[in-house]
Amino acid sequence: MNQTILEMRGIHKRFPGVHALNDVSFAVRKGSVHGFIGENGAGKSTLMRVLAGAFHADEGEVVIAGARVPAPTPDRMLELGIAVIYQELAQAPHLTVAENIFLGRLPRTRLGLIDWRRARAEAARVLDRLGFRVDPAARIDSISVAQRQMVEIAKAIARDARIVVLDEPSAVLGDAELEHLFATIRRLSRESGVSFIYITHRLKELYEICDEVTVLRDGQVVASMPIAETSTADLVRHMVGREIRDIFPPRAEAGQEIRLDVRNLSRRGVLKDISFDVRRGEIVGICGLAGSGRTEVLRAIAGADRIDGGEIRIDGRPVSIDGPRHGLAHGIGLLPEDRKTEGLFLDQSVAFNVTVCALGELTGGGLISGRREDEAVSRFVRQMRIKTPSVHTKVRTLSGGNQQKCGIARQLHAGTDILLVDEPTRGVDVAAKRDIYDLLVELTAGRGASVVMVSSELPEVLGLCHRIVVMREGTVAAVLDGSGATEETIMAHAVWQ
Amino acid sequence: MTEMTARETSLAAPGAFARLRSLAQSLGLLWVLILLCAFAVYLSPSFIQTGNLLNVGRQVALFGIVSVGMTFVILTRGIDLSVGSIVGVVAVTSALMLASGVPIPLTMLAALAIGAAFGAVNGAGVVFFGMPPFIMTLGTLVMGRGIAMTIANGEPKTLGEAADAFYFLGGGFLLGIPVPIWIFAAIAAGAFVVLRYTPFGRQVYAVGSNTEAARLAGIPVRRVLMSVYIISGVLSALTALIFVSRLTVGEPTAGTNLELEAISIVVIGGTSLFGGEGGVIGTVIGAAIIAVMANILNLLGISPFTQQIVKGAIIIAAVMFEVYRHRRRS
Repeated sequence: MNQTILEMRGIHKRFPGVHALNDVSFAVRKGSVHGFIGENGAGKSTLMRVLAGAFHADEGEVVIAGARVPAPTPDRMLELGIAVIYQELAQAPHLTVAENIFLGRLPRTRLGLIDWRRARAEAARVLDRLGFRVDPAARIDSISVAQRQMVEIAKAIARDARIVVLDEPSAVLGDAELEHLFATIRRLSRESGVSFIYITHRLKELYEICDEVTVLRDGQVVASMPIAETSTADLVRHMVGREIRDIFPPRAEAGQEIRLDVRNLSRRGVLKDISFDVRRGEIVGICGLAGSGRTEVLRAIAGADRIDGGEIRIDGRPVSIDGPRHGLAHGIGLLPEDRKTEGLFLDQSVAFNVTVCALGELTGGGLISGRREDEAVSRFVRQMRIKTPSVHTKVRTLSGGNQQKCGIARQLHAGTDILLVDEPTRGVDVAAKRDIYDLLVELTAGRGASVVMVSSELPEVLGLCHRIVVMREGTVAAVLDGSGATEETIMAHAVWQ
Repeated sequence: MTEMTARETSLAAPGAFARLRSLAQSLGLLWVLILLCAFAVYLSPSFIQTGNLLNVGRQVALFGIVSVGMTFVILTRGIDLSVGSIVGVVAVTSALMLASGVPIPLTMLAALAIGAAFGAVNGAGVVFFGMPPFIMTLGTLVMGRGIAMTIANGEPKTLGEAADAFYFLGGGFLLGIPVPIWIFAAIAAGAFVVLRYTPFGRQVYAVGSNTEAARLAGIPVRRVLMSVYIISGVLSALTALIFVSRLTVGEPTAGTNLELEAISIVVIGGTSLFGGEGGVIGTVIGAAIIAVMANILNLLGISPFTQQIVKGAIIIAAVMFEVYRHRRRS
């Protein structure tokens, strides 16, 4: 039981502007469940991609069952028994469960044709052994997310995986399903000697399922030990590495005047009777579990999605926002959740990205003045500490934090004073996070703008927001006062009692 | 204060460098063109005879005008396969109008309007019905040719008495240079300014780089898409007028395969089929490269059939280079 099956030693991985993994070392014992915990952007996913052979580490080595792996590639790692089950499952939705389990290596008949009968029978045997009740002939897009997770595990086991990595399965599984998954993990680890790496955000799960835990912070291992030797308080301290309140600028008093008033906002099947308001100089946080409608509220207010009912008032006047263009005209700007697919023009320059939605003031006689544009953008680059070689550099080459700042700069350049930000610090390093916090406070306290912030990082919501709207299943579950709220009170409202 | 200005220039200076580099990329293409021309002269001194050069220039202009419109469409990540058929429809309708005594200016306006209408249909299909541009314009390609054939009953239409007066547009000279070349120069220059220095141009690039981000940034995506297809349609109609003027006849088959020429020119000119990258300078040089290449192959006495093989290979090479660049980036 004490034999080491996997060891990663001195792993370094650098991206432009970010040292994503800094001298990461840890060991996993055969038949154990090894937990990984850390804030968003701590490096967990990067580390697992290195383990899967999808990323090349700049330095360091991977040792499996005592043998160093010379050049890890995805194929090689699969052969060596590493199976990584990502959050976004990499499945072929139109194929059947059996086909997915044997993807790329379906059994053949003597004529070289696919032996469907054997494929189904073997798939059924694997699923049966794992105690999964899934029909091998069912199409992937007809089964639940939890069942898909099961299929992925079955696929790993069918390949004789020795180490299975689960990347935040609890993000997509319900309680009962999670319990079932845990039972499976326990059985496989004890009876078959399969090792698991279990990545999560939730401390509680670590204590339920893990034997050891490694805490990552800013790309470094800050602690690695048996779970029995830790306490929740220790782990939180390791994860955060500082008193939470310290990195947030002091909260200024918000104004009295209501700028944005959302009344009974509804969108069929997604949002129901959402009401809250935002005052001048105020930051309002929106919290809730994934799928609770947080992002959808922002999109509806910004005009990105149609609404079916309710009213939005700005400065007391009802407005109808038909499309993001209208939103912008009313001074409402949206910083979307996924900056790469919804926010930025990655192959265009910093200047292009900053000025694109308000070119009017840079034009004279219908033509854009390059000089005026460069000046305006340079000013933002300086003020916001955007690290870029030039305003003409392609945004793709910047780090996550600097990309995000470009997105915010666009809103400021467009003169929005009701800023809707969706996960503004996701995938952003700590220094840039602090800059973004400072910026949001500067905007509200300094310039009287109003901010609505969706975030799944409760510390930042607690540290920045004057009030917190907690959502649950498309409705507002509670509106809390920012200074009195705790992670526990927020979570209590966010989940069903 | 002085320190601030210093920092500002330090930020802007590498920008000038980046611009130089993108210019150098077009210049790289320009070198290809220059080498081709040198090769042509080496093959046959008659290449630089005025008559031959003007012929090449005329061809650059004809294909170039349509290619400029195609550049707009491709920059938005679209494609317009219907350009050749628009040329066919406009060729026969304008010939019929002229022959029946409609004044030249009115005929030209009507012709451009027909082009715009075709473009609007393409744009509407893409914008309001979510049709993939390839399929939408494939449909109008086939329909357009059918319309041209139906109107003309499958036969070339002569211009009647208007032929002489109308000849200037496609066959005339201004300061010793054929009129179509002037027209092309004006259009290319205008398109260059629009794409590089106007908000509309920026929006074209924005839509092509990331349509969803463009929409969320408040860019009128539908209007931009409508506009580029209309621009492409109008420039196709203009090309048709030049054809008809020079040939003094409106053929329903005019412009057949023109879409392939235009797409090749735009792609060879370095505009990305993935949208959001490229521009008009490349297209102008691309048009020249294609024309000079054809001229060289003619000078070498290579059969038109073999020429097609060569041209196809060049298109594949150009796109391969483009795909390779994309892959290296991601």
